[in-house]
Amino acid sequence: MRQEPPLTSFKLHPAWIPYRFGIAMKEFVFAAFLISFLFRHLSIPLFSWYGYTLLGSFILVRLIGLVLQWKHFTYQLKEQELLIEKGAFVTEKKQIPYERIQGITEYESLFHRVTGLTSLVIETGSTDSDADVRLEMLSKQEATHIKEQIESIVTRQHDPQALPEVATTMLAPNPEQYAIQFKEIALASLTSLSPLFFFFLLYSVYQELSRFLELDDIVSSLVTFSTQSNVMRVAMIGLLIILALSYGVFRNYRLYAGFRIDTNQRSIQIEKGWESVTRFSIPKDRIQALTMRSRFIHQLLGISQVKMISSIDPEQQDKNTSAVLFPFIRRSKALDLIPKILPDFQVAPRTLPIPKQAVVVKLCRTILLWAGVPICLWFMFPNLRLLAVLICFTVITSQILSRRFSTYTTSPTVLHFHQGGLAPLTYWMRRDGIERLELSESYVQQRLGLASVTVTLHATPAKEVRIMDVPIDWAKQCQRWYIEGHNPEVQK
Amino acid sequence: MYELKEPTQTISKDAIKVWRLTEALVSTAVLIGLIGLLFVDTYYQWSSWIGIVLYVLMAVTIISALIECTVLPVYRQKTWRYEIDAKCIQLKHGAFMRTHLIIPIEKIYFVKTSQGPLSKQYGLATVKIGTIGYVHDIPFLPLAQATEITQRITALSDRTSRKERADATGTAPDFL
Repeated sequence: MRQEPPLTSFKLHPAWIPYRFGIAMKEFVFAAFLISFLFRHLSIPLFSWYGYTLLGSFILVRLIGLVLQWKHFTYQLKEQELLIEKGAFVTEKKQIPYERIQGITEYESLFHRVTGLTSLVIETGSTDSDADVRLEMLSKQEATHIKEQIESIVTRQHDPQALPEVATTMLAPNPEQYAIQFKEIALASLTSLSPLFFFFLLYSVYQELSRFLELDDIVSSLVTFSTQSNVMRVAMIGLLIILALSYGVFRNYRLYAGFRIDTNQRSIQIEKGWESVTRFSIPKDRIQALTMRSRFIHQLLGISQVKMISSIDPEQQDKNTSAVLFPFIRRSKALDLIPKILPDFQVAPRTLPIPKQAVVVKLCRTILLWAGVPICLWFMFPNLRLLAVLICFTVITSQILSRRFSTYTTSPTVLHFHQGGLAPLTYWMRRDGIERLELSESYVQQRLGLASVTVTLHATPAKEVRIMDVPIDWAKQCQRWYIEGHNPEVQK
Repeated sequence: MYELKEPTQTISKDAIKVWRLTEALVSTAVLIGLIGLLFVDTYYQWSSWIGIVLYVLMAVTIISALIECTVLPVYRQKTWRYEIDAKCIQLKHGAFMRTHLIIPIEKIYFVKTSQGPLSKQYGLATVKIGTIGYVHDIPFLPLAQATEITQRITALSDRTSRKERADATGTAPDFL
């Protein structure tokens, strides 16, 4: 039943050397700067015999290093682990057990497209920068082979019932589950704050250019030109707004163009990109939680962003991973799609409200914010009294709204929590992804029969979600749900 | 069928003494430091507000030391409960601010006991339970009990990981 994995070791495509050389170009420019600086001090002209030799030898050493690195780099798909050998002068062996692989990213830049090759980054979810494995410049067949190999091995480990034959047919990607449309990007960008970034861009461009050029004259003549008549003024403002809006659309288009999601039985793949394409795939059971939030006007339009929480740190640079599941999606569509894509995340049909008496606890908790700060402001800065009233009013309103609109519930697999109020945020947390669960009751909460549940998610960085002021009975039920593994609602 | 039990196990009575002693030592050290600073302050004639701040700090230290040495250790010891069973570890403490933490056995990465010089005097040890993100303490248990708990948790987590492995290979787990 178990097919023997090939034990031969593979090398990367020779195009790896020019690819890495291209990336190293930045270093050469930097080295050239350094050398020219040095030479100016020694008063030797840069474009002389010395200059060429120094720069040439620098490039040569780097090139030899790259050739050696390529020569020594091999990978091997063993039964239990991925074995990598690498190094330029000092070689090392690295073993990555398959169960530690959190996700695979496939990345294609322009250079990849020209050569018809692709790169794989294998995430291990460790915070160490050396922890991920890069298999750069692979042929497409090799890449799919590796991906399938790893996925089928992991599938077999997790699900002994699934026969390998069945597993491979299931691994064939289904037709796409979701693809972003240009009008979605456009609508979402136009109603968000991203057009404002145009003015930051304009300002930073101005700053950069004014180092080299005398821009002030041009700017002032532009200003006088455009304020000649009312028609000109309106036209200029209109032009600026149009530019800003199109920049906002462009900015999001760059991020999310071609965004689509494919799924199979065990993992989901997120593809995106415009000039360079990335395909990020993650096993479904490594997704510990989902969040859904909407900002500003998006809330009124019902557009929200859905993100995944997993052990892969999305903040880490240069990784091309994606934490975003749906960049801009109608809330109803998201609620419809999530259970289809991730069957673990079944949306509960009925949610529970936070009891009325919770307002008391909430107001006690924030007493410093709505009473302390405004009173201090009122007496110490008489000219800021309006601000004091405003702060008091906002804090109290937000507490009341958060009581009124927060909901929570459990389903057999997920803990659902919706934090209502001024900045609504919904969490779906898988039971297996919860590292610990804390129930806490302050003195006031005990009096009113309330409790707070704090959940720590198994993610990088560790994430805590706090469900405040729920009835103590439900909190106890939630504890039982967490450990005993059945739904308290059903039990009741 | 499994049912989540309310935690009942208590920590050692000697914990009160250890907490008191530790607090007394720490407060004395802080006080000595503050008095030293006060001397330097008067000797070099620093600006007056530094002296005021030092007196306030000293007052705060003394008050907190008084509370920490009298009521607080008793309150802590009396309210601390823990429970270990096949599925999870429960840690519960506090009365005015009650917290009840549940850690499933399969999320535990390591268990160890640790002994400071003071707890050694009373033959006590603290059990440290590490998950991926955090380390949790069960403070001041008699040494023998702490070792026993550590071994029990290790055995339990071994069993859960063995179960996972058994699940993966498709064979029936041997302990059922």
